[in-house]
Amino acid sequence: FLLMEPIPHLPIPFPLLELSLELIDYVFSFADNKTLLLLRKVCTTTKSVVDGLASIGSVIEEIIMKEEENSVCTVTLCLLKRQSRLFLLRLMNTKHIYEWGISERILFNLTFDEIPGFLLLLKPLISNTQINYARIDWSGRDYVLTDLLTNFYSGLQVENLKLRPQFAMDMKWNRLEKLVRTFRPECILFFFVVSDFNKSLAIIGKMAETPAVSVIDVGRSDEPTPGIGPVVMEVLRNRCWFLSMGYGPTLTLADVNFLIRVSLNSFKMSPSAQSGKSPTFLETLSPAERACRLERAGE
Amino acid sequence: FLFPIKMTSPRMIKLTSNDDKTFEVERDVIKQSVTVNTLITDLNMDDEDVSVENQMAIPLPNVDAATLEMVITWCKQHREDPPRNEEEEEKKEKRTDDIPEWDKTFLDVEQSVLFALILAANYMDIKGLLDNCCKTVANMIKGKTPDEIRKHFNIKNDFTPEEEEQIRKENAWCED
Repeated sequence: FLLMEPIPHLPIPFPLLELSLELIDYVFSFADNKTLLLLRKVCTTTKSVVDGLASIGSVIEEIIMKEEENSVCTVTLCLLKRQSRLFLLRLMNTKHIYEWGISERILFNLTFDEIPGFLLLLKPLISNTQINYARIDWSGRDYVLTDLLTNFYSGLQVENLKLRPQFAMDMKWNRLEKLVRTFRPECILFFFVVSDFNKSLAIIGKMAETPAVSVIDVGRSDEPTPGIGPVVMEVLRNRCWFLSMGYGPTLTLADVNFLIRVSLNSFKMSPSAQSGKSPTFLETLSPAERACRLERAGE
Repeated sequence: FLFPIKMTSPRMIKLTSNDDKTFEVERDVIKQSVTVNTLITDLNMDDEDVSVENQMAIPLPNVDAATLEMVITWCKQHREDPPRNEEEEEKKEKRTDDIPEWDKTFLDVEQSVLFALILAANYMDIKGLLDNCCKTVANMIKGKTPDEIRKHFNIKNDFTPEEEEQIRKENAWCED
């Protein structure tokens, strides 16, 4: 009689963790519109997942460890969407993301729902540097945005600024603008690696209207900036530089180097900046670079 | 008038699984596998002068016979699908409620089979199959709490209570 008893169906669990990290990531990319939240949930399920996903970022860890003994690469890498993460990893391979970190550069990769993940990603790159930071209390809890922003805009008195969680999740340009007005960065470097070009444009436009901000939009080579058109350019009033130099495989070490210098040093140093006007893009270049860029543009 | 009709048999390609079973599959069917397609092109296997008997079988060392059979079945079912535009696909919102009915039934298999299919689809670079497999797994994740996800995927909770508390605290904003 016992043998006749139906055997309860015991499904064999899907061996999710045995998939490669890339495949886990790909599965996650379908899992939820709020992938970020979901991934976080999964990450809280086990350290091994967390460690596994973080190991994608071993390049970062290596780079950091070489120069900053106390730096630790944490789990935050897994919070980003695949596209952004791969993009960032490419940058990290060039080592310059680290330099951005310790040099207080800002890199925004703006889809609104990606911001928290993105900030989290950057946190380990900067949190153990010698830069002091204050905290912004995000919905009553400490949150890394504090560290990040304060690091990037060090020297500013930022203490316990209250921000709702929606700040990141539903961030609109006006909130971003508010942020800019609050922190007044000299220059913001935008990488639009996302497809919502119109949204990006709106942000660029609004950001560029805020005082003391110059924007560099590093456009995709396959989504050339001419799409922006003269009207928007007029709105931007020379505050925005558009570099259509591509990213990913086409973004070379030299390009990254170049961007960093343009975004921070050249802007400050250029005659136009000193006279209160934003320099034209070409003004920021050395003669050799200018010739090189013009040649590339000609191609 | 009667015109002689030339019956041309479809071009066949031989594939060998890692357990040494050889499958003959129509060229048009297997073109959905980017990996195989590239091999065929690179090895000039589209040369019509070579009969299938004399043709070299393409070894697929990462795919067993049972899985390869399923992959071929899937490819046959989808042979008429329009070619994917990866750029467009990339722009599309990722969703999991668009798995075709046939695929839903086809993928209603043991977890181990689904796992093998994902690996095979990934290895053979069959994006449509990979997507539908991953969507099926994603559907298992959706709407679950961390605990449920752990149970479902048999993930051992290796956090200490303190660590878990710390993570919950850090991520409480996710659960608001």
